[in-house]
Amino acid sequence: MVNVSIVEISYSELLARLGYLHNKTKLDIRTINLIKENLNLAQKLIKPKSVIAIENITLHGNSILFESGYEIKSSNVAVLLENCFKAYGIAVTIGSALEKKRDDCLKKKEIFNALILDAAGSVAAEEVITLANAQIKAYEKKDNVLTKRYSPGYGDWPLEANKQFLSWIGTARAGITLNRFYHMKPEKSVSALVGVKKINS
Amino acid sequence: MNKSNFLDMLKHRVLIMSGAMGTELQKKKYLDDVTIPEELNIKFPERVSEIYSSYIDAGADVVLTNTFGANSIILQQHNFLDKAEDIIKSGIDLIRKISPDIIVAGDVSSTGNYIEPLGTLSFDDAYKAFALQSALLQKHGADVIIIETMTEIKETKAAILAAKDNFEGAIIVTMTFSADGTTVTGTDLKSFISVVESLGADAIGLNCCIGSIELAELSQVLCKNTNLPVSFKPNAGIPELINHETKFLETKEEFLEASLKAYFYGVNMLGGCCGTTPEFIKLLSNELKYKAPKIRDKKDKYFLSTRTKVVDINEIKKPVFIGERINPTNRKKFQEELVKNDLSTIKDEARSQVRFGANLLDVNVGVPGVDEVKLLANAVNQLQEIVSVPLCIDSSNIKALEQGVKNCTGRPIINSVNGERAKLSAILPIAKRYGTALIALTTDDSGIPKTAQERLNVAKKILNFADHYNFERKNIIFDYLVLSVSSSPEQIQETLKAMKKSKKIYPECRLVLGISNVSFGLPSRQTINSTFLKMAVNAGLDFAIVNPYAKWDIDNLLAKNLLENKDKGAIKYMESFTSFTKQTPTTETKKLSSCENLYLSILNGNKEPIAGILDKIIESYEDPFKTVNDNVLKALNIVGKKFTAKEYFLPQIIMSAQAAQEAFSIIKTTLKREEEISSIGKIIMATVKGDMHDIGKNIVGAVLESYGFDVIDMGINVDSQAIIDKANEVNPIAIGLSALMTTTMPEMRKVIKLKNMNCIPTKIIIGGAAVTEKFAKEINADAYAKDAMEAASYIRTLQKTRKR
Repeated sequence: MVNVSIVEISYSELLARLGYLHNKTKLDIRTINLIKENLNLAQKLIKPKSVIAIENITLHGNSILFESGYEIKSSNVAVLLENCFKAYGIAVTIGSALEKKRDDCLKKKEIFNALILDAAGSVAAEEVITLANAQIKAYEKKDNVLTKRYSPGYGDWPLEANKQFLSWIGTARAGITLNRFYHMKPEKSVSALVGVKKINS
Repeated sequence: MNKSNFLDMLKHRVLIMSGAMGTELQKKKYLDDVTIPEELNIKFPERVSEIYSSYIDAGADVVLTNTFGANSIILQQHNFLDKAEDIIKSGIDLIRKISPDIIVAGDVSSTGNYIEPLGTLSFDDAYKAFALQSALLQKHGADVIIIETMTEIKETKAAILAAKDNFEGAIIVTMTFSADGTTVTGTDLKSFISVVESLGADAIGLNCCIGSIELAELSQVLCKNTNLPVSFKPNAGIPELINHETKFLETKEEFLEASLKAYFYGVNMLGGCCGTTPEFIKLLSNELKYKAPKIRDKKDKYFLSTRTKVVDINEIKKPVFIGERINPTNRKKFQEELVKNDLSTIKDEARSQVRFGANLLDVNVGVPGVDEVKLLANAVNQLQEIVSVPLCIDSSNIKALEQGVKNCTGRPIINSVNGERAKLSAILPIAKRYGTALIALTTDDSGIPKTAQERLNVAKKILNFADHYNFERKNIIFDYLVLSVSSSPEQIQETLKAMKKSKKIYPECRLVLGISNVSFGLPSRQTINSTFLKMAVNAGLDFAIVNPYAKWDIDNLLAKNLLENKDKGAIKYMESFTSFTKQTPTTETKKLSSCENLYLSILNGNKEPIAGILDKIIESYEDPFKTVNDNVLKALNIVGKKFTAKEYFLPQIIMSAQAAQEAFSIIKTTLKREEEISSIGKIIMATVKGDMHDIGKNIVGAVLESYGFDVIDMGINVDSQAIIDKANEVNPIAIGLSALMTTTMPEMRKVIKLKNMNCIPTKIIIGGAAVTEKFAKEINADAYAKDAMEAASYIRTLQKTRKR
């Protein structure tokens, strides 16, 4: 259903993330080369993986109950999942090699390289979650629709809730864990909840 | 079973290998009470035996030991290094106990780290990790080693070398590829073949990662491009992690169908990887055990490679251009750069030579006063990440050559050896060990031989040495030496004669020439060079060491007559070309002063020439600090304006900041005026408690340092009280606080409160992805900066105020 092993980091997305403005920013060949060299390096260092959980759900006010007993209490999530009968938990990562390299660059005060690698990692993680999301969408029957993605740390769904959320998804198998501040490790990882409802609901 | 018996067996029958170990152990929940799978060998050996037995019962001829991660790096990480021998011994003995006759394959895989420059692990440390494992597999009687599931070619190289040095049996090397035929680190199948074959492994293969049908297609590419036996161990499909289960969706029937395809393509060993079970192997064994392998056509490939590109010399149009521009001989500025470890010209030359069509790049960094061993290795590492063409490692320093080729991610050429006994004895073993091709100059202790026959005699001597060192003759590239046609006109024909004869008597050996020597001392050199190149190609030239920027389609009759020694004294040639002047660009660049160069380097974010420029400023200006300071700040001022106008974006700011930092760092160190310079102010930078994000803070720090501020970087997750204590200690102009998360922003308020409670006059400026101006006002921060330039601008205002 979901295979994210091949993801190409888009150069234009990378530039956009770095603040490049198409009609204003003037880039010389040397800077382009240096950015592309770091992009090529980043491409070699990413190892995208995904892990998902799927369960039927029921909504009771602000509480969302999953079949396994997992429960989310959040009015924002409840609004998101209104009329949904099922939900996906998705977690993706690009692995830790890229951030290790970025940290090594920071240690050596190679801030430019660190900046490009970091941005490339963010673009890659975004592309991986988008790809996983699209594959789930394609997998769902044509009479089902997916909600937008939503993640712990937004609205009234606290970041701390990511602990139970990731545990429900089973992300340890993909090497995704949380540190004591509830930040995901590897850092360039994304977790998201997506609801599924009937098209006419 | 010794190596030759094993390889002989492969000629007569296919071998069935065991299936997955890890996923079987996981499925049975055998991994729940151990730290690493290899621990089972000593803690719960019966569990490992159960899996081994299941594969032997299913019909496997070869069983892989449960030692996949038993290299010293992984064992050390999990505190099992002192148990390495017990783990490996038990991993082998358990198989022997079940079936003494089974072929035991010592399983070796990645350390989990990338080697420099992709990662931080050194090649030598990776080698050591695999060397211990290989030595223990040898000691305890494994029949073969299988290096598998490798994703990075340099680590694969380290593993092969370690296995070859410490293990006597056959070595099978397999990597993991995506369906597009590249590893995650960008290595394609042919580059993989070039490395495995040249390092002298005994078999090659594919395992893991993708489904069996896709892997079967890749096995076809492998079988078409190598003469080595091929192994094939696919997954039972691509794993999906769904609802706490790792699901492999491929059936054993699909797996068999793909395996049969691979067998028909010419694969010699078949087994299974993740998700396969004894049932898969049984089916495979029932169909293929004892079958004779399909006969593959003999391949005649001549690969040179890098991590991401392979060149087949047999396929490519001749001559193969080796770009000669990475060579500091007679280039003073280039030499000065290399002395300062500045690789900017090397990188620029590499990029542009490739753009101008160089198929390979010669890399020579030989300059008196440099540590060539380190410099060449560094240059090789860096070049391979910016261009993909294979390299020709050029040095007269043997240690530098060895480090250079060791650091190559693919198969390079060594440039060069000659007929001197000492050189042959030193360089041939290096070329053999690292699987390189080798340029051999047909000169020896007696100098350059005058006649073709004498040069061929030297060639013969070189080949005898090569035979002695078991170095394949096909990897020798002879250089029959070009002398200047102006001083030795008769020598040109001797060179061409030697080349033609060499092609007849040593057809397996290739030919190379450094072309430009031929025109030394004459006008319009390229007319001669290009004309000579054509003559050399007709004489059988394979490789030409040339300047790729030059025009190579000139074929001039006067030059030809000169080269054929029909124009005695070069009279006719000189008549036509004496007035030739080298064309210079119509818009010659104005010579810039050191100050202008410094200003432009900062403006353009070009850090690499800074050291050279500063040397000149320090040498020639009365107050070098003021000169540097004024020009750097003038440039940064323009950089700031360009950023405000959106003409520059963040990477350009950082490039300029790094160049400015370099300038200040050099001037401080050289003039030893640190006190005076840092007196423009100290700034504390910290990412607040609970927040682990480093990069934004470091960017602001770099920009502030570029203005000459002394930045005290307290790091990430910094306790609020520690920030205040530091402020009390150093009396900074400002404290810069960074937070990326909404959840950690409240820590900023805490720092401000503590600062006020301690009556510290220092201003606090805050920033970060989630931070806003409104939030800054709410928590009474002195300022908010949306980016590094705003932060620098605010802090510079504070500095001016403080000065007054």
